[in-house]
Amino acid sequence: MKRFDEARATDAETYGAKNAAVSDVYRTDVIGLGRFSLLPLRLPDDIPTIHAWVNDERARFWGMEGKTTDQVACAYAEILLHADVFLGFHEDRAAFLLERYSPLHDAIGKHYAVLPGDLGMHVLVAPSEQRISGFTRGVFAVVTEFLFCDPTVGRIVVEPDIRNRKIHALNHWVGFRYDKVVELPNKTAHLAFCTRAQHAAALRRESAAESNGVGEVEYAAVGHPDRETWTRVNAALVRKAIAELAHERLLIPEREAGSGPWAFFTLVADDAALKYQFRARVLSLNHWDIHPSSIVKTRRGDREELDAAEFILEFNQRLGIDASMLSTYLEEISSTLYAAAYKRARQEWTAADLVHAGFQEIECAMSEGHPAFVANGGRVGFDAADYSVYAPEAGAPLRLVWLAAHRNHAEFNAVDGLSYDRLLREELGQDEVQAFETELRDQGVEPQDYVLMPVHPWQWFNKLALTFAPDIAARDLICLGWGADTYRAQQSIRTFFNVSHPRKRYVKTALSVLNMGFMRGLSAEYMRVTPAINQWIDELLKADPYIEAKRFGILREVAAVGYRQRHFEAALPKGNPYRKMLAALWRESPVPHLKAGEQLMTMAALLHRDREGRALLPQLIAASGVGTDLWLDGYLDSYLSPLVHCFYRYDLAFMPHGENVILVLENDVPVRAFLKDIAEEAVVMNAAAIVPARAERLCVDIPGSIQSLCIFTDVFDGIFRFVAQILDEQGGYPEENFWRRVAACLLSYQREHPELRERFERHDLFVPEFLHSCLNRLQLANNEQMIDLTDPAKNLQFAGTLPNPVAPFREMPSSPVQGRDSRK
Amino acid sequence: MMHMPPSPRDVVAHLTPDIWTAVNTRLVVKSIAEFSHELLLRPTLLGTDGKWGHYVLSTDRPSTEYRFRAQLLELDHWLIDDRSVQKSIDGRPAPLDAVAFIVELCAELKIPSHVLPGYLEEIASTLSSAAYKRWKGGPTATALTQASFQEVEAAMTEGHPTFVANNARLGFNAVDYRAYAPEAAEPVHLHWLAAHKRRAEFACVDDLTYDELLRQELDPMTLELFATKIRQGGGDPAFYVLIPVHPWQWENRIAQLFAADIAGGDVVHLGCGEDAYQAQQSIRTFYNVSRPDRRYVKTALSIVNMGFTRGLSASLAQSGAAINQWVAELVKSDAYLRGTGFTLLREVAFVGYRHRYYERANRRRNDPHKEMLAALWRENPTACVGDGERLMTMAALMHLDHGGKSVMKSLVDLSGVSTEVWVRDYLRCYLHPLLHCFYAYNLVFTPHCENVILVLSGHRPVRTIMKDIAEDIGVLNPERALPERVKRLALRVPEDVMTLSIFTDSFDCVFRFVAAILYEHLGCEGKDFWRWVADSVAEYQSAQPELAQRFARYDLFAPTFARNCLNRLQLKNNRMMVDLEAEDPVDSLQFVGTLDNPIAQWARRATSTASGFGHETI
Repeated sequence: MKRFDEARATDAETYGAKNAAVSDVYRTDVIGLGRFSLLPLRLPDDIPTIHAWVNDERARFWGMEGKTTDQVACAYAEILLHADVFLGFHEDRAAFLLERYSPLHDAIGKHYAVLPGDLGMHVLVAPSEQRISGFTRGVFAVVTEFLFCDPTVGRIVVEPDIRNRKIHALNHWVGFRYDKVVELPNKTAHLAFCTRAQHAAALRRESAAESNGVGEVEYAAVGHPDRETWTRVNAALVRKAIAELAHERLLIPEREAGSGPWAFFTLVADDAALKYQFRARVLSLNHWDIHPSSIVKTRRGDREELDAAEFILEFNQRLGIDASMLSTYLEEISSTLYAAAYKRARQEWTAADLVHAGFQEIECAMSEGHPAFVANGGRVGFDAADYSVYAPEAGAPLRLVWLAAHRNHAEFNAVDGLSYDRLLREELGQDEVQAFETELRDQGVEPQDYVLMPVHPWQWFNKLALTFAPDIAARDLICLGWGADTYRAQQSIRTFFNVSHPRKRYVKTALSVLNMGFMRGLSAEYMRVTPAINQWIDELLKADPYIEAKRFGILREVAAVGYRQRHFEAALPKGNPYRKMLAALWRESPVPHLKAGEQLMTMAALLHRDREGRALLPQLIAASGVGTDLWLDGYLDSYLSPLVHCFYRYDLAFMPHGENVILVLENDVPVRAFLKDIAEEAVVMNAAAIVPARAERLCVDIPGSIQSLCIFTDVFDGIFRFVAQILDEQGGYPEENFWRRVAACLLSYQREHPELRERFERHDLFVPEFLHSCLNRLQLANNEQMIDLTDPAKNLQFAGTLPNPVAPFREMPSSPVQGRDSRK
Repeated sequence: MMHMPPSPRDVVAHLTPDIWTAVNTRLVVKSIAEFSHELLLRPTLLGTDGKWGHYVLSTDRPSTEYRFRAQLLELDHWLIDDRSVQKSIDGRPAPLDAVAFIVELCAELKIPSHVLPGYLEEIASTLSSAAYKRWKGGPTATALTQASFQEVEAAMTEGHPTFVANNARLGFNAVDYRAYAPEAAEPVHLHWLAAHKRRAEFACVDDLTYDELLRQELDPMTLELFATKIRQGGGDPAFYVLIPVHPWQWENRIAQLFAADIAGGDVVHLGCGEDAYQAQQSIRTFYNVSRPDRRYVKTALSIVNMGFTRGLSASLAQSGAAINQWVAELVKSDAYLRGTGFTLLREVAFVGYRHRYYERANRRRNDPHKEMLAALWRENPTACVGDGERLMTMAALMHLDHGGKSVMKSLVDLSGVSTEVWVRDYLRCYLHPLLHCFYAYNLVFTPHCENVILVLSGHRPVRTIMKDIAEDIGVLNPERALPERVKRLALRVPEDVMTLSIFTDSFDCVFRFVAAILYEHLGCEGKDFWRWVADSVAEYQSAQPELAQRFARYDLFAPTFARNCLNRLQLKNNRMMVDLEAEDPVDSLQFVGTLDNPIAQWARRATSTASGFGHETI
């Protein structure tokens, strides 16, 4: 008690308060920092102090720069009408300002649905000569704890200026989750929330981190899946495993009973006492639509719980996973389930909400991963804490680590017209470039001998800081620390969208985790020619009148940097994952290309279902109001037509899966598409094609008989199979209607391009059946290196053929096409 | 509450050019020495200069070679002058680079291409760890003679003396390294899990119960809190056993790969314990620094280090306690061993959790996936320290401080006795019990430096304490059937391999380095040291006349013995260098020719010397 009195007296003396009777409303001790207390703001006594603070350069986001003492006094008199303002003390010194307000009566309240218990917060930390490690964090911890002392407060809301990067890190640290970007009268801001639980979890994480002497460990935020969630994600993955492995004919369920399309099936495990029974129908392309709640597993008649890893073990005689691979495959299954549970627990958006969500909200709301791979969510290498920081579904803002790499080993390449200096200026800004260069000079090296490159923090801490120690010691690599901009991981994990500056480029980095059969590295060799390949394809497409009419485009990988580690280059063959540990590329953002009224959406969203199983696609179509036919025509014309054209006209194929395609919507209807992931995935299926020397890698000899699989496998089987099911199941749109629409799109294309008739005949997309190329078979055969990237045709796994669902429509009259034309 | 996120720059602060040059020089020297010792490399003698020979080592690349001067000591030990090593490429000097050394010689070293990248990574990590130790600094050799048991433990820098890539810890990231590496000596708070008995098994020695163990190892409040947490999760504490878990293991293995068990309530995460522990040299064994009277805890840690994933088999719980009890009783009931003061640190309790999938996915008992969740408690040696006695890991004998000074020399200096007397003391403490266990019981340990604790009095060794029992001991070709519960200990090996438990493990892996330090730092000639070893063996043998037949059968004075090459194992498979479950584990060992036995020359005089020596020291 004595100490309290002393503290108050000291506060009063130091601060010169006239009314020492004003008592603090809160006080607390922070380990390692000392005592903090809060007192209500007193007018006008406190104004001179505040005035000095708000005029400091570091307070530029507070928005009172340049105001006189009187103006500040007036401003606070007004603020006090609808907010509580507190002056915060650290030990004896006034050190920060806290505003507590109700969002309902604030501009922010117009940007989201305010809940009872929501409380707004603004914090200004005083400029200080003396830097105390962890001080600002201490302030944030104290302030949030104080606000949550009020039991009626359920959630704290903040709306920091998007440019105020320091605050973002602090907010994240104290438990805020960033929701969306909002336009407020005086700033563009992030809207962020921190619930009581998030806050408690963040502080628990910190205390655990402290006791273990490690940095960011987020047990509670990752959470442990509860029994119900675990049961559900297992049931969903077993369903997917049955459906996709039956699709690939690795498993053959036996039809039991039922006369209509829906029937009961039985699948007997390696141990014949074990049976799975379920209700399903088989759609086109041997697609298994299994009724979600119908799967029953029994052992000698006794019911057992569904368990996805057990399922793999139970059928492994048929799946044939080699003993040396099985444990790792099971790890991938476990990791996929873990990710699914995490997503499920966090999935707040319903399908209906997503229709009007922003580009990045949709991106991190995607929950399925690849639609065909059973073990698709594995990130073997991420630990539980990494997961909550780096996984795309965590949606956590993160910063990248910047390195300077010596030009003896690092090479920068860009498309014509983009210099290294310009790229850096545009991506980092002059100030940050200068700061980095000064740092290099301070270390006694010449900045022009180095290339700056961003790296994934995980890669730095887990791989480079250890395995590249020789390079770091030799000053071939110099760590410059964290970059300023905040990024968000995209579905592909190692591609990052710049949320601080959405018009800036994406960054893609090497990340040596094992996911879906590949070590996700990025090769320095590939980086050399990446910009040239992008430039060539982009120029090719831009010069093509048909592509131009479709307004189809690629998001160019405009610049790339690769670092060659001398030992690995000397000792290991090309393609070895150790030669892919340090590289990065910059990809154009689609945002600057948008016109008014256009919205972006990852194509993966068309396959998305929310936690109740409701699909987004029918909702989107309903919102558009144009009807399914016209909506599909818009979609197919944006997506399929350009792909078909690239194939027929240029032998050019991409990897057009859901996460590689960004749809542009206008009034909720697709009007055009952007394709990404170019240099690593594009091929010209003609070894003799004439391309510039630097783009030569594009040209690959692929047998003519399997060339059309770039449409059949990647588009029909990889995307449309699922779209057709969703529309049939939830859109009231029979699947043959869908395939008729696809056929109409193809026929219309063929009609418009009589000059390519010979190609249409040679690579006939209306053949009765095509080879069934199987993805899971590849992964089961070798989950660490699925295919040889340098020879894509070599390692495909075929399982017979699939009947072509558009074959029946070969001779279709042209009327459906009219529908689409008339819409235009 | 306050802890800054890791700074990307801080985690590489130790990688400075000066330090890097120094650690690379050391590792290149060690690589040349040990690979030559294993006959993987054969440097060419160019000429001699007194005791020194001048050598050249050519590489896979005609343009690159190494020149150095060295002395070849007993057991083909290459004593290389660090400062003499020069690398040249096309005749021009080049800096020493240990990773480059492996790349340049990977054909000679016969590293399979699928092993090479991982091995290079291990070399880089080993260098990084050496750089960290140098950067952090450490007590001087003199200071170490006065330092506490745990200070010495944390100050050890070399790791295993023969393995070149001995400090990789593949799986640790740069932040983990500074939190968990023994040389960082940071306090570690173990996580505690409750595991349902349907999959978890606990076993302990007869003089202990589960409840007693918990009461001794955890405070009542912690126990109550843990029980409450189990109840909150809907479980009954009576059906659960507690398992301590390494924080890394929890984050990297358990949280995700045991998610099914966690969701189903079979595994409950209880939080961190109160006590701070310190990692021992073996990384996953922990000494309780908050309560030095409590036991060591050894946990599963699925990182790759020196040829194995360092898990802990869940199945150990079935046999570990019984093995410890049996061996401890054997040692205690043997009058000779009692006389030497030799004791064991018993692993008194074991707990293991059988994973629902991996137990079935793979038939191998030692599959790393079956070794993810288990722990054991080991007795603490501090209880058995008498007045004036101090404990010190035997690794300290080979330790050189950052100024290149030897701890062994400081100990000898402080002891006030001659090197000879000191060494004879040491041999009696260390070697005699090993010889007796081997000859009397066919019982062998893994008596490398970090498994042996020396008890010193007046800076002289007075006895030794052996650890690492359940996983690392064996009974070679037992002549009588072992009791059922310890049957697992029986190892069938070819007759001529039996003496390697002394020749390889003690002569080649311990004494070879002790001899080199005695020579370099205490001016003691090799032939003297080895004569003392010979005497020590003879002294033991003359004290046990009833075993004479066995001495002849397993002759430690044989002219030669098989050259057992450890680096060759790791170079062949850096993730599982010995297949412990092979039909014949000896098969997977790498024997290349023979080594001349440095004590063979004293074979005839053994008995007489021994008796003479006996008089001298009584």
